[in-house]
Amino acid sequence: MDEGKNDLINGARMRMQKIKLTINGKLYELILGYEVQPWHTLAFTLREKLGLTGTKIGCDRGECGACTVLMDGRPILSCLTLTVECDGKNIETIEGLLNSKTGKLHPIQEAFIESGAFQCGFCTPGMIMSAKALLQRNPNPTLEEIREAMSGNLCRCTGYIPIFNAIMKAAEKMRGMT
Amino acid sequence: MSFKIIKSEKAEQKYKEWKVLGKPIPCVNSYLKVTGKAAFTDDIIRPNMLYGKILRSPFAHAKIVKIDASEAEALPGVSSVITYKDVETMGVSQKPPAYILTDRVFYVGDVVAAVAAEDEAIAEEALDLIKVEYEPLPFWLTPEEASSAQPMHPEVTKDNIVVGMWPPYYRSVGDIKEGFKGSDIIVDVEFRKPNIKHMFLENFTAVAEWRGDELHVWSHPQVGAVSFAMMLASIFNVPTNKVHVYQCFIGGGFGGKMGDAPLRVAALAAMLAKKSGRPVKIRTNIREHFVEGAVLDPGISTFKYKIGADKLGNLKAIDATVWAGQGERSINLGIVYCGDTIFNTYRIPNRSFKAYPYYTNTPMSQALRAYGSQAGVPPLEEAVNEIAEKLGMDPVDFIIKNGLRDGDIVTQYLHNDFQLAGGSLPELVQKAAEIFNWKEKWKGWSVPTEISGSKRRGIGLAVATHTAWGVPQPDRVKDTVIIKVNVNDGTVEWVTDGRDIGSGFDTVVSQVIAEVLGIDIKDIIHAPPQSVGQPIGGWTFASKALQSTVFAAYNAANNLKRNIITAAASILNVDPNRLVLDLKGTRIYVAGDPTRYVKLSKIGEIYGGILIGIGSCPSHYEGPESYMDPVTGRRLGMKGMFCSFAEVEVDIETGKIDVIKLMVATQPGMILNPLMVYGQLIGSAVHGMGCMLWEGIIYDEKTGTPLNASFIEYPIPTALDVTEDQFVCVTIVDPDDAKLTPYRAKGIAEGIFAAMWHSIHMAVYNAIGRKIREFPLRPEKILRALGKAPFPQTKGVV
Amino acid sequence: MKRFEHFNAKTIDEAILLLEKYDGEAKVIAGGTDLIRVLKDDILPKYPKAIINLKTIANLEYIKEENGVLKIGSLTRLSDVASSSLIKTKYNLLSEACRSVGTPQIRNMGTIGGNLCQDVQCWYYRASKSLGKVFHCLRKGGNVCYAVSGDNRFHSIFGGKGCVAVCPSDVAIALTALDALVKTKGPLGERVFPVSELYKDAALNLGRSEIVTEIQVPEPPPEARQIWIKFRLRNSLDFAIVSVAVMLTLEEGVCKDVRIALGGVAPTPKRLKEVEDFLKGNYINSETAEKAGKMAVAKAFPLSHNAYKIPITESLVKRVILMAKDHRTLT
Ligand SMILES: Cc1cc2nc3c(=O)[nH]c(=O)nc-3n(C[C@@H](O)[C@@H](O)[C@H](O)COP(=O)(O)OP(=O)(O)OC[C@H]3O[C@@H](n4cnc5c(N)ncnc54)[C@H](O)[C@@H]3O)c2cc1C
Ligand code: FES
Ligand code: FES
Repeated sequence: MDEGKNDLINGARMRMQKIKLTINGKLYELILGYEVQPWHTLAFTLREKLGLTGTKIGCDRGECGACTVLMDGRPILSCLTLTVECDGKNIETIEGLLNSKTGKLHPIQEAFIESGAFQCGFCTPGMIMSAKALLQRNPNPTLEEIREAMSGNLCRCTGYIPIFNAIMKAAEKMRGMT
Repeated sequence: MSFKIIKSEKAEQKYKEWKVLGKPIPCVNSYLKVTGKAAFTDDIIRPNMLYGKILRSPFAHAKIVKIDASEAEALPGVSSVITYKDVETMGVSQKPPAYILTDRVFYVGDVVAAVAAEDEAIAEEALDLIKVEYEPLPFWLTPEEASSAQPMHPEVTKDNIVVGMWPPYYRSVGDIKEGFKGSDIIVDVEFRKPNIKHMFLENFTAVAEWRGDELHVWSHPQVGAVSFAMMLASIFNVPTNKVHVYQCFIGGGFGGKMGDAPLRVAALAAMLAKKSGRPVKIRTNIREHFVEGAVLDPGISTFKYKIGADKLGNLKAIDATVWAGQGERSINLGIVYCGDTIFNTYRIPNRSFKAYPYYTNTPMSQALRAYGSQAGVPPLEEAVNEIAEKLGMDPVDFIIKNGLRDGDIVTQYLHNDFQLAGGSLPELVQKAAEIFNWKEKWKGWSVPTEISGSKRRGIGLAVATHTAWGVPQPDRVKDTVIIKVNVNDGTVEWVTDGRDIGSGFDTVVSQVIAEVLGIDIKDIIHAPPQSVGQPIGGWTFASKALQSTVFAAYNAANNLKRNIITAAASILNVDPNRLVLDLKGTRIYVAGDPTRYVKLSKIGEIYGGILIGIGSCPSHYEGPESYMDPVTGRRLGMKGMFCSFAEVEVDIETGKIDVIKLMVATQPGMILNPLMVYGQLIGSAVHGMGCMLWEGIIYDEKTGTPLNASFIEYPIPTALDVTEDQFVCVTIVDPDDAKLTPYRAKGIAEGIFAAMWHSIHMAVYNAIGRKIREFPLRPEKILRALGKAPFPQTKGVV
Repeated sequence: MKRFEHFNAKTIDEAILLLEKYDGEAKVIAGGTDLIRVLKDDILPKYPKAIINLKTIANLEYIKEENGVLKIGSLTRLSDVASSSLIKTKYNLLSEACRSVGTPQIRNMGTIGGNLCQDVQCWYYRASKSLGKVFHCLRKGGNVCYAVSGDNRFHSIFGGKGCVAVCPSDVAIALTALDALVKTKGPLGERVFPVSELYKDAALNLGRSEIVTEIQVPEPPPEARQIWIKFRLRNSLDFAIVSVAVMLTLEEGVCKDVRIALGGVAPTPKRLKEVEDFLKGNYINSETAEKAGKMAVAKAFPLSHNAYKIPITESLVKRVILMAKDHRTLT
């Protein structure tokens, strides 16, 4: 390995910089140079370092949306996000959707099941995160708004229509709950 | 939901009898899939695991003259590097032309070497340090070039014709010369298709680990875990029972995860793991999807179809030839099934089909949503349409006159001829045309149905038939299912080595078993599929599950039930017919007198402490008596029947096409789970729309590089490209349309794809009055056809 | 992705200093939606040694109006620009252009500065190392543009100096029609100049250590009509095949002022000055619109595969003018 790179890793280690992330309400402190390297993406850290494998990596190029997580409430692509740049951020992943007290499914998850909104299920965690952000912002979306909100999540199996139906249904369920 | 289920009286009756079947039961893996807990291959993280990366070829065809990995091996953090040189030393045995690693590369992106390192970044840096010297060889992408090129695999063939599994590539029925002599009208049609890709979301991934001489592999093959283990065993020269394949959830397959690509990635991971002495994970990305994965078989193709009919519109003869670039290897099943469309869509007394599958310098070809029939439909329909147009006939009338119907003889490749038992295109098209309002909309050939400014509307339709039998399987893949009942609580587990790819296979098989055993769907699970200790039975492809896996499960459940009831009857000393199996209540009681019962555990004791049922699927060729028509004495068989109607709007200034309406219709027999059937229909329809309008690999003709290796430039439909009111799915449900399977159901997902895409093609023709004998119908093609832009000089790859 | 060093810059000056220090071997990162892909595909002739994060710089994310000028901090997310009610009401063209970029996630991450500074999309330039074949093209120090003699269906129909890639930024096209300015800071201090001058020959016209800090848009007259059309295959995810931005002011049916910019057809945003001159003082009707369309492409000289963009451009220019006249928005 060339000198510069050696220095670079050692330099980072010496600083013992910590990346603090809140993931699904829980605070994680990751040491830069050990648990996180500058080139690690959030998707990689979540999955390979923290074992939160619910977030999927599809294209690994920002094109498919499978890796969608919420950062400070907004859907973003964890495959294009560097973990070092997430210090102080609030991240939500699919693992955070289950009601931690009752163990019950989130209404969006229920609606996805009832509507047959997935087949292979690989796009599903990302889809559900985009849907969650939409319904948080807009509890009563039109079909147009749903299509728009889901337009960064590709699905090759379902043809999307069952997904739209699921989100409509989830919105109804969630309105009924409050 | 735009899902119309039109039931016959007989169907209504059946639905009343069923408790679990016929209900919209959500996928049995639902909980896992919506919570992110369903373990896909990439979710496997082994202690001390390394990350693997693959070095790929910049040449479409070359010999590796020199390869030096020493610098890469010396990079701190690198654990091992493998090149073709390691193949021999590791005892990896393989035969041409299916290589894991060799000193030749056959297409851009072919595997040259692989690295395992502590971190993905280090592995990538190491790839740069591998020094490779190539001797570039001539390459070709199209069948036309292949026919005059030097042999790619001279060790097996001299003329570049692919050595597939099932030659010959020629079939005929009747006498085409006579047929054309008796024709009043003859047309010739030439049609081209590009390479198309599966574009599933989960790219090829594998985790491999050696525990002594045991190989453990986590992967996502569409073939069953046992078959996958057999392939790995033969590559590594180890006993099959030492290869543990854990079949993870599959993030989309559509045929593209059948064998070769998952196998190669798994084998590379296993080789790296062996050399490193540590577990290795390889996860590829979307770019690699284009060079690791297969394309549709037939690949880049030219179809030349000549077809004749008499004045009344009766088809007389067809002479069909297809030349296809099959990639670096192929089993050629797609190209031969492509021929099935000409034999089994229309009643044509004289038929000939010739196929020329060529080796070309692209990745191999394989199934995509179906094997071949989807590729065969557009050229056939183009030819048939041209006849109908010349005769001035409405295409609906034409199909009603000529379409395949119940009782006709089917000549399906690799099967014996059989008599069609149920299903009929004329009937299907007639009903569907009414729902679509065809007669009212139709204004004639190449006449738009509506004109508004620069927008032209047109309508079109297409039909297809497709195997409802699965591909004929050699004996080693005769499906078997084992069912186990837990005597303590009556819960049920079933075992077979296949993984659901999203088509609902797990769910429907569970429903069948639940129906037979009289239990709730909640009380049954499919054991996680793996190679060791499980029977073969779950290859999820070729519309076969509903026929063969369901059959095996049905037999297993009935065997199990019979054994339990027989034992109980002898203990209670009653007629077995009077007994009720109550698994939930863990007992068997006398109907009408529940106080007289035997505990399930008691029966368990009789059978040595365990209750198990085994069943397999009867072979397709030598079916039982019931497969014979009592009147004609002929062997019976089934086919899926499909049609599709489209309405499009073309902007003749910009060449943009909007699909206004797409209606797909089929006769599925009985629907065992409407949620799954709807999902398959709509999913196929949207997939097919993308293929007809936009998709197709674009190659740089000078280097053979796929240029659009991304979801941006290989445009699959997005959520903003479909709306609910665009799509209508129609099913005409009647048990008589699928007489030969338990519960009277047949597979539907593949054929619908075949029918639907050409309906868009015909609609575009009618809207703009220009024949475009290829796809995708991108704006550039439309504008060129309209004379608004010149045609580029190309070798005709897309 | 390979390894690199990473810095969270606290100030613009710190970022500039770091850029200077690495002397061309460092890259700034904003939303990362382009840069991370560039790094993963490993297409740069020299892999950067360091990545400098701009998101940690305070006060670069804002949307405000000062003395009739809209000011947008370069780190402002595209989704914030698109949804700003100020921008929607007065600068709708910009709002629409931002809304048409990529996908919701890309817009939530991507910044307006990053959008302007993104690398071109040419598929020869972008061919990923993980696919095997790398094209050592003009942009990488090679001596050919592979697109010229290859498949150039997405490339320029108005030529180019060597490289025929088109300007990929939707925002730049809208900002060109809005006559916007960019403000930058570099080792030599600050500069303010028209957006159109940010590009030269399919490349960024920025100093090595220069950072875009702000976008400034003069307030259009309240009666100005603004239309954005982006022609693409799909309604999401795609870059433009052709895009047109127009700002049109009418007085009793006569064109008082107009600015038209084309995207997807040239290495830089293309202002249609001749067309504008023709329209000014003329009645806007289907004839003048049609003539404008024809004029827009009169000087086009397509490559082997992209002549189809000519009729599309012609038609879109005509439509956009008529839509502006009729106050219609995109259907
Ligand atoms: C799937 C997909 C679809 C897309 N579709 C579109 C589309 O339709 N239209 C479109 O316009 N774009 C599209 N993009 C490109 C998208 O990356 C940009 O729109 C985005 O705005 C870039 O912003 P960023 O902040 O993420 O840039 P970054 O990735 O952070 O940076 C991009 C480049 O600009 C440089 N840079 C960033 N900020 C500055 C600054 N302030 N000063 C100087 N240099 C800077 C970086 O060094 C880098 O070279 C798409 C991208 C993807 C992945
Ligand atoms: S994996 Fe991140 S967008 Fe596809
Ligand atoms: S369910 Fe398979 S990709 Fe969406």
